[in-house]
Amino acid sequence: MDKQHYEEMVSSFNQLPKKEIIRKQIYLFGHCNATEELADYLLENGYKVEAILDNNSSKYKNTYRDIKIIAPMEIMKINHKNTIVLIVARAYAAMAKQLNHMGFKGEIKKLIDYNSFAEYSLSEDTIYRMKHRLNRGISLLNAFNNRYDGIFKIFCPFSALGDVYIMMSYLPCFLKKRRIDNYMIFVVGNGCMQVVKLFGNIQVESLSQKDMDEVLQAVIYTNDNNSFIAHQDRPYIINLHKALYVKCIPLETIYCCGIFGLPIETSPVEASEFTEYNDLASIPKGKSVILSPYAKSVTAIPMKIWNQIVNDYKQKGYTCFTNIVGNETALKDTIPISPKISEIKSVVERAGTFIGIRSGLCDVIRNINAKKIALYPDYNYSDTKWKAVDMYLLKDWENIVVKDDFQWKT
Amino acid sequence: MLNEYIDKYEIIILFSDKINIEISEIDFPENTKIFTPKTSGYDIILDLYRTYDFSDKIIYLSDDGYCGGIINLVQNGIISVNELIRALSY
Repeated sequence: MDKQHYEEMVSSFNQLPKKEIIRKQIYLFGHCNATEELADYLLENGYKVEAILDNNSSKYKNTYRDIKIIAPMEIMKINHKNTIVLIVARAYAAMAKQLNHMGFKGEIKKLIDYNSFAEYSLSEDTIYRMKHRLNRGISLLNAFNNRYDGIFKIFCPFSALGDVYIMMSYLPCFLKKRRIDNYMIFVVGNGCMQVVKLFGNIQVESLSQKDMDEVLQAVIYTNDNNSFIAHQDRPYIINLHKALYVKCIPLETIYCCGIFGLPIETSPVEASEFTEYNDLASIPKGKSVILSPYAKSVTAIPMKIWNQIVNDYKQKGYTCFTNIVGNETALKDTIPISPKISEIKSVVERAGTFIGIRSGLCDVIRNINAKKIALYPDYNYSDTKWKAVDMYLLKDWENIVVKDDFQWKT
Repeated sequence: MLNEYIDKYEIIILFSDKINIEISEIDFPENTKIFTPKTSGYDIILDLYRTYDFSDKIIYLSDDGYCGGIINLVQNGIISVNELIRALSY
């Protein structure tokens, strides 16, 4: 969970009436990194978490810090009127809907607002607030149109490196199809800006998530024909993910054919503007491994697995590095390394081996010359029946699904 | 009026006139309400839907040009029209 969302989670929880919370049984919904961080926070502040609800039955034998992971229906077997379900997972709307359909009568609280577009209400107050939000978005869109007169605007609504990489790789064909020469990209966050710049000297601007959401609402409302929203499910008006309820369609195909309307045989463009890390000499050439254990909105792979991997490679005489960003910590017995996104290619090619949790970083280095292993936590993509490995399989990589009984094989 | 539709139907599909699909030949799931530009209330619902996401029951099928959509997958042969309708009914 990034810092901003963590602070929002803490703030939202602290706004709940404490006298009521301490009398209720607390459940969490959706086992993921964010939920684990919420569980940590609650336990460290003296609260008891009864269980984590999750629709993935393969998790039901597991626990997190002695908190059971159970099916959502289990909550109906207790006095659920005296319970509160706290949600920091992204699929809040689907989870709340599921609980309500089950007949759940307790409280459901969203602690992080990933989705500012949705307010499932037609009350006068809601309409008033959302129209004001729209007006802010229209002002922002008008400001962009004035500042960047005549420039086609492409919006990447979500701060995910992989989404931006795949988008950029099919964008040239889309622009050619639309006969657009003069364009710029809007993203959320510095990391996504760096990914855009891997594809050349492209005009790019970073917006806050709030500004991004509001300007997108304006694009939708005004039907702005000088803008394009390049994402598979954000905002709500994009319904591509529904196709996944009936068919498994890899994410790249969704981008190529669903977002950009290109034929399936379209070849993606690869990034080319990589730079060299300034301390390559510190990485033993061909005898190092770059480990990437962290990803924002993906269930973590247990630390014992990473320890097995580190032990295995150290026994083989390799030097192990952990790629870290911000406050992340290096794995035990490894050396921290923090190359820029444009430098990661030189680092991995120098090392010779990369092993990472399947994340957007893997897309950035997808075609580089090294041994590449992607580890997929065993989770379903969004609320579909498809596994992450079905959606994001990497060609010419070793793709490994990490199930509960997984042991790293030497 | 809006509340009446939201409460009564499980799925509400707004078809824009930019979609090249023959609606009359489609066998929609029960409890689906179809709106086209000729249906009374279409403009009001669409206007509000473009303001914010006020119901998870609404699907807007169009090719407005400012984003991708499931219609592109039909046009590119990734899914069939029947699969489209099954997908929308989930």
